[in-house]
Amino acid sequence: MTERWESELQQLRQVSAPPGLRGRVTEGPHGDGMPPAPGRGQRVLAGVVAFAVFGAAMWLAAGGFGHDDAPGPLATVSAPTSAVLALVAGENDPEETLSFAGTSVAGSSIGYCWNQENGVQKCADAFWLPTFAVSDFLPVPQGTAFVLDNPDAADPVELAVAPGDDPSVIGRGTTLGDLGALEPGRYVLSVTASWKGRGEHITFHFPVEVVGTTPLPTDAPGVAVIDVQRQPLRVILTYGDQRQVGDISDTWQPNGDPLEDHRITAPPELLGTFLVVPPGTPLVVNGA
Amino acid sequence: MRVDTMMTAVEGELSEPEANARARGADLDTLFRDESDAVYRTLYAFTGGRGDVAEEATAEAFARAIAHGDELRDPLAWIYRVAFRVAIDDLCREGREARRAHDDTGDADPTATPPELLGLLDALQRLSPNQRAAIVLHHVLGLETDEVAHRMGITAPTVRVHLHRGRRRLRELLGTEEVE
Repeated sequence: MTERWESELQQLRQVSAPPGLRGRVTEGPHGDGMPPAPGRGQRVLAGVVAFAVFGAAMWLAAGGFGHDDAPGPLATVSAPTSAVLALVAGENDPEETLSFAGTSVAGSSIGYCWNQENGVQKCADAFWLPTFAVSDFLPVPQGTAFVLDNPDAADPVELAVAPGDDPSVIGRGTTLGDLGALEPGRYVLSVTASWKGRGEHITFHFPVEVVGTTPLPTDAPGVAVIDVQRQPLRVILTYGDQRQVGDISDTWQPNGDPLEDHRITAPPELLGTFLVVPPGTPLVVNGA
Repeated sequence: MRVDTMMTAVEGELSEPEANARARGADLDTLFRDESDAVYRTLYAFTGGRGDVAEEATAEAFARAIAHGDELRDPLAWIYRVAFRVAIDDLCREGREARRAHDDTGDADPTATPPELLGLLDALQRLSPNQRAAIVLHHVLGLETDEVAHRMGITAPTVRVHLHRGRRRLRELLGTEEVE
């Protein structure tokens, strides 16, 4: 005897895939091959704001204004030289953060079970790992040393790194020392750790952008301005005499409506170079 | 890499990378042959009998897996998660478009669903997405809780919670009588 709901569910076992399924697969992905990302506007703005964040980090790394020296590569300035990967057994959750130059990113996990200090086991889940937005990536200059701060976690801590922004892609096993030798680019750093009696084999993913050397800012013009133009869609970021234009008009339909859920990648000219602005610079957004 | 090219016979000796690539292609082709029905069936139930959405989500997930080649840690689990996400996105987009048009065209086409499944599919739609996915993977595909957790990308204790709540809700919606 089975309950009615079970009996009805078993009828679904007769359902089979339509014959056209294989043909559709051979067409290849219609999406971009990645899980859903934030909306277009959010991504555009995030991408642009990332320049400001990056610039701020670079300026911090250079030690701020007041340098009379000519701009030089980051590797030569006295600045934070280590990115700190902290693994902490929190009261209610494992807490993993990656920090550099005063900026931190929290790790993303697909799920874990954690024995809380009150003795109750808590399990946390995400339906899907995020696809990291541009602004999620922690900028770290090339050559930065990575150090581990794990007062609570049991050894060994496993590290893997994969190029790109997809945490589901296989990461190559690595060591702290090898992380400092990464080429410029975006990476997902996966860290698996265990805490005795609290949680086992918990993996967190960190978005990291290894950046090459960049000239330092020489003056502070004041306000950074983002102009978002609708027709054609164009994002212009200006700071002093620095100016970048991102033209993404192909994401609009002929009638001027935005393409729903159309995910874009900002063009190379928007992502390949960075505006450098000092921390604390007001950022004004027009037209968003 | 595409399924049709994966199945193309290659004559002559292969280099090691070529042989590895061919083996991976064969793996994905085998995965498609062995698992596509189950993935489609799961998505069919998950979407409330939306065969069109289930087909697109299943195909898109396999196509993306093939495009990723050997980069995926666990292709089958990855395919399930992508398929769920694509289906959710499709249904959400339909819902938004239907609301904009003040139309209910986002509902399932009743003519495409076997009448004997309408009540069940309607009940499944009243579960949360996680409850629905867990119920279908466990009770339709017959997967153990740990495997359900693996394919959904969540922990086994959470799956058990979803199953418990999902069953309770189905009893409320479909009745508690027992059948032969």
